[in-house]
Amino acid sequence: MGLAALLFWAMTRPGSTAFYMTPTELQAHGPTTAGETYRLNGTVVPGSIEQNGLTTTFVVSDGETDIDVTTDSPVPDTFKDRADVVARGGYDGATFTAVEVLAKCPSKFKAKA
Amino acid sequence: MTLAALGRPALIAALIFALGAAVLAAAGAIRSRRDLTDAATRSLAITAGFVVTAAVALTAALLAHDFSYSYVASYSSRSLTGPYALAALWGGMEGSLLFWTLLLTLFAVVAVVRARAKGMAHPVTAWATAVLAVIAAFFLILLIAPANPFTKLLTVPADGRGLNPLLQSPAMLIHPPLLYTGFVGFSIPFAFAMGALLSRRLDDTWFTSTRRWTLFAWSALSIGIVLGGAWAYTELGWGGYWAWDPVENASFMPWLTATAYLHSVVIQEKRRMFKVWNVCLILITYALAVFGTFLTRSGILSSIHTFTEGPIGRWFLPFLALMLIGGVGIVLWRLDGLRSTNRFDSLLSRESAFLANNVLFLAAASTVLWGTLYPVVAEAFSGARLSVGPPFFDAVFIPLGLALMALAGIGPLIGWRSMSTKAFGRIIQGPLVAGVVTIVACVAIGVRSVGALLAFGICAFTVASIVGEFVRGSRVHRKREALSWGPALVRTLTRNRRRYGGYVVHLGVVLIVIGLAGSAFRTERQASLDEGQSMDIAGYQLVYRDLETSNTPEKQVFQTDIDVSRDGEHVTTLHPQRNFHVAQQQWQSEIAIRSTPIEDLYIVVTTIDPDGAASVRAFVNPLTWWIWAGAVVMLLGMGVILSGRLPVAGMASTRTRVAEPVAATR
Repeated sequence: MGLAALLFWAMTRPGSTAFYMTPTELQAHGPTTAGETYRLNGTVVPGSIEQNGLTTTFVVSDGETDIDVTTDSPVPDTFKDRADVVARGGYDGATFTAVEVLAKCPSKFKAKA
Repeated sequence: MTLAALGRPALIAALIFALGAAVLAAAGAIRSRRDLTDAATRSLAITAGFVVTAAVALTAALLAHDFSYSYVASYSSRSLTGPYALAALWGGMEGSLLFWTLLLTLFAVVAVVRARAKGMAHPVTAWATAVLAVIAAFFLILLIAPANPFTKLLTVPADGRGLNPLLQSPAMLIHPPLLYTGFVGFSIPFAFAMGALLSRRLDDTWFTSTRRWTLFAWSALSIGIVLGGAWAYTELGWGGYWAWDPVENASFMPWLTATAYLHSVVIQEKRRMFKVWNVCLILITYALAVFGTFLTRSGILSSIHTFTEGPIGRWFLPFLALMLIGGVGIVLWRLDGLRSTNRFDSLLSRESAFLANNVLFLAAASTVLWGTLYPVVAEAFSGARLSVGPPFFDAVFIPLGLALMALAGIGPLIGWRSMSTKAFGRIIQGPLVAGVVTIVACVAIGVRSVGALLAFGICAFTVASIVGEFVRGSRVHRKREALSWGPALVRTLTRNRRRYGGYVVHLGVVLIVIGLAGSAFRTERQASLDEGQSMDIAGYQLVYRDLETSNTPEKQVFQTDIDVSRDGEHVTTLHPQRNFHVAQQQWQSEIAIRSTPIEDLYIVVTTIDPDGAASVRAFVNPLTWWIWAGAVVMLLGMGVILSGRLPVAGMASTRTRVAEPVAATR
């Protein structure tokens, strides 16, 4: 019982859970509500990465829909053209502003590099 | 014909002998025929021999850069030599499963032979052999059908894809084998537990004689997990070491339940209680180890680590179901033989402290399981895809972890069976004072985070309690054997290695908790700096002095010189790098860390512009040093425990009674 209460409380804390979407799903969903965290998963469109000081902009695609992403956070080393990335942040209907960008780990278990 | 060509036939032969061993061992157990069990043991040894052959074959292909094999082409390259070429053996999905099977069959042979030599009852060993052979057969089927490491390519590429530069780090050489050793090591206590149930030999023999395996597996898993964190910290450049990623969770869950098991078998040994519970715990631990192996290869979870989304998942689920249903079924079938011979005498007893420990560890494991699987469950029910993040885990783990830490301090103070509140009040005084004084001192130096204050207070309490145990133990030896404090302390540690080695492990955990609590005070700054510009972070001033470029065959190196000063005084010069790896066409940051027990200054260069301007991300991580120090102390404690002669089956109770003068006098 105690554990269930603790789990419930922990789940409802801000940032505990985040919606996980592809560009197509996010576009259909439209602008996100402030306070909710979203995770956008797709691949980086080749040639779209632009670096300007600390700001990085790029385009994430799932093959159908493209979404512009901008972030002031550093991007990981594995972040490059065609990388599979997860961006965490919010979407205003035109641009996804990420507070964090993760590229999938170059894991040992990956068949295609 | 190359050596590698032997690989696949060897795997097929291994499967045949594994199945043979399973059938022979089961028949030997049912009919009480030792000759059949002997044949089963030989068959298991032959299985191991063939698996070794397959592993050698794959290694030979890797070292010879034989890119006609898909596996070699995917995980190796011509420039990859030495230890990292060997690391490719467990670097990919198929190879890692072969490595798993290799460890399993070798461990199984050693465990079965040793159990027989030590006089373990025949039917227990026979059934354990059968269980181990079935597990080996399952993995061999995987290696023959869906995860064949010896798949040939139609067109042979000129070079392989190589190993990602991020993975070419010493920690990555040891981390995966340690995790596998941990996972696979739990097969042995699991198999003997099942053997004991199936043969109705429900005394303590099954766990006392496999204790060394359990401790060994647990130690390997513990160090493996810490090394994974150390790798993330020194290579990935986000300033942290643990992210509650599903793959990390997959290794953490069996660790939590195994830790619960290590504690609760003590109760069965001393008080003949928790018998059903212990069998269930080892079943859960092993199921979670197999589940973890499966989770990281199934593609059912989105993780920062990527996995082959292969057909492996379909094979693992039935196996896991068979294991759980079979295991639970066997436990229920033998439930009558598992009744506890004793009851709780008092709420204030070491038994209840151990019980509380188990409840908390299981709650922790359930939390991780829930958080890891919630996205899958949510998607199945609502269609919405969600992910569960670190705030959830932190919220649950901080209270659970602190409670467990406090318990590590309370447990040793309470006697077995029962204790008067008065006696308990007297003995707990010292540690309580230590805890309160620490909290007051921390408030005085300006610590305001409630979580961190509680953490430091509880750590001080637990350290004081453990130190008290050593003092009391040494005092006995000092008096009785007229020794000075130093030798008396050594005597205390060596006379009862399990108990005092365990305390050393607890001390290590306390240090790790201190390090984790330090993350409450992390500072992070980032700035784009031209040469000569500076940035400030947590009292440090960082000046970007210079950029040096050089070329090696593998990479273009961009090395920065960053002068670190504090209050106008030069502290050190750090050299974080930003390098371009030519073969992989990938940029990689080499992090520079100045680590002291007080705090780490952690600098990453995230980009370098053509004009030499650098984006610098800096962290000050207080107390992180203590995490690695704590891991070393844990390792020493494990060494103390494993170096001792563990009680032989059947002798456990008499030996421990003699060896525990302190507990007896209380």
